[in-house]
Amino acid sequence: MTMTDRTLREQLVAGAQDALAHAYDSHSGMVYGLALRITRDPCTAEDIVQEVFVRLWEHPEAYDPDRGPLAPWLGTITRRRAIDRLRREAVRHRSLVAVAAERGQLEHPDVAEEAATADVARLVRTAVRELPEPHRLAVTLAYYDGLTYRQVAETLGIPEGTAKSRLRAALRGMATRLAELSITSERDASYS
Amino acid sequence: MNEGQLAAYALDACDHAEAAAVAAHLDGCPSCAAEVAQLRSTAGWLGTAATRHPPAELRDRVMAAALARRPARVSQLGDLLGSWAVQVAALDALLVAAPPERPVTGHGSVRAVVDHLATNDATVAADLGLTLPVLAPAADFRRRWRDGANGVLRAVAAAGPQVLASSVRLAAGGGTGPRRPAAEAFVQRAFETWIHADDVRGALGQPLETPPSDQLARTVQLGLGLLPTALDAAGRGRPGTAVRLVLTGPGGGEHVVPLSAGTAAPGAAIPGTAIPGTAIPGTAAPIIVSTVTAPALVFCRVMANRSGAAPQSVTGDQGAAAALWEVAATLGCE
Repeated sequence: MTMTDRTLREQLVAGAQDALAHAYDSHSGMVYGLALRITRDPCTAEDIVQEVFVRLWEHPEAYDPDRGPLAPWLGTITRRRAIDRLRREAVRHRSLVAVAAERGQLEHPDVAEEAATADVARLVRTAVRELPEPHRLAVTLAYYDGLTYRQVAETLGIPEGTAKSRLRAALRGMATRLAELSITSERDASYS
Repeated sequence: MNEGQLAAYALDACDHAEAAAVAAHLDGCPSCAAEVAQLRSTAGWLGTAATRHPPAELRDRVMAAALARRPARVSQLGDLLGSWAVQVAALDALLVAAPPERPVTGHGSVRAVVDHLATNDATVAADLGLTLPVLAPAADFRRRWRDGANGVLRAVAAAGPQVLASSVRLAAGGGTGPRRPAAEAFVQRAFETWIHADDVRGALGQPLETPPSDQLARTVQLGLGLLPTALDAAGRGRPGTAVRLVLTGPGGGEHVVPLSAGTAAPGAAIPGTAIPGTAIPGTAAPIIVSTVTAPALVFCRVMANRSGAAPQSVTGDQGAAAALWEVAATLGCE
């Protein structure tokens, strides 16, 4: 029997500990990886994983399955929390461009890690890596650093309209590449 | 709206004022809203791209922190609530695309079925003394029902096993029925939610569904517990006699069903100890006068008066078998 996100939500509401374990096993990699990518601090990333799953357990009603699968919803919460931490701590000595360039290298985590993470994550990393550099830089600054398009423009020294169109081009490029890789934008909401 | 602006919005990369303006625009512009949904979905993959294995010991830490904030339900309650939760999710999924005014046999409309379920859920909540958030009557009927059911599930999971000792009114015959242990009420909520989900499936031209076998088995037990009294109430009770009910398939098993509450409760007569047609002197064990064989699924549907099917086979006293089968159809989960 497969458990849909909708059933998972109801089981969480009903206080089923194994439903929480299921959610953790399915999504902790994404939550941890994203939090780590944004904060660059393993301890902070672990704290965020804990916050995200404790919140899911305490308030599963907050997840609305009508609006889409659980994974991107958890991703949104993770990202907001991680970016909040980033802003609160405001330890940003290095220039953002340098950080973004470093990110290019972070696209290649160590080989063992790369081999161990899910196939889908690897395919998506490939799609991001294949974006034209200006597009990739803009979208990673916005998504992983939480910059507004104005800040992206300022950081890269480009007009605001250009920043916005690069963000759009990056997302479009990713969507096209993901479709070629047979990864549809509508994720499978169920897992066995 | 400018496509770049929508992309920035989808990435949460607008300032607050701008984001509010875009959100307001999206309310009235389905094509931009669809575009944003698409872009957001793509942006979500950037989260997936970052996937890394968390340290193994983090799992225990997170589970412990979660359970410290909100305890898990105890296992005794687990199966009962779990079955109901599964059925709530199934009906909720059905209702996403079900036209509210679509006629449903016996209940008027999809909306009326769901309102009816919400009313019966609320009865259980009231009898358990649960204080649930008051839901606006004007609220979306699906949300109102689901939030109500969720409220009971959450509160009962939190309350723990002492809940099982309290007694609540079961829904029956369009009103409320006998007071029974709360455990039976949870079995009935799962049963009724499944049956009404099947009503909606029928109205939508979708195939009916078979619940998990453990849910079917508990539903059978619920019905068998109510049958002797119901037989008496229908004037068809036969003190001292019983029917052997052989249920096949998922949820199946063999049961001895007394034909009157005046005899021993179900389960007191162990199959094989009573010889059909003969009384055992000095014991309260009823005499088994006939054997009825049917799939457990069919028996459950009969209990809900959703099936006109006859038993697969009947041996022995045909009248006793007919009384059991016909009164089962009046137990009524609705």
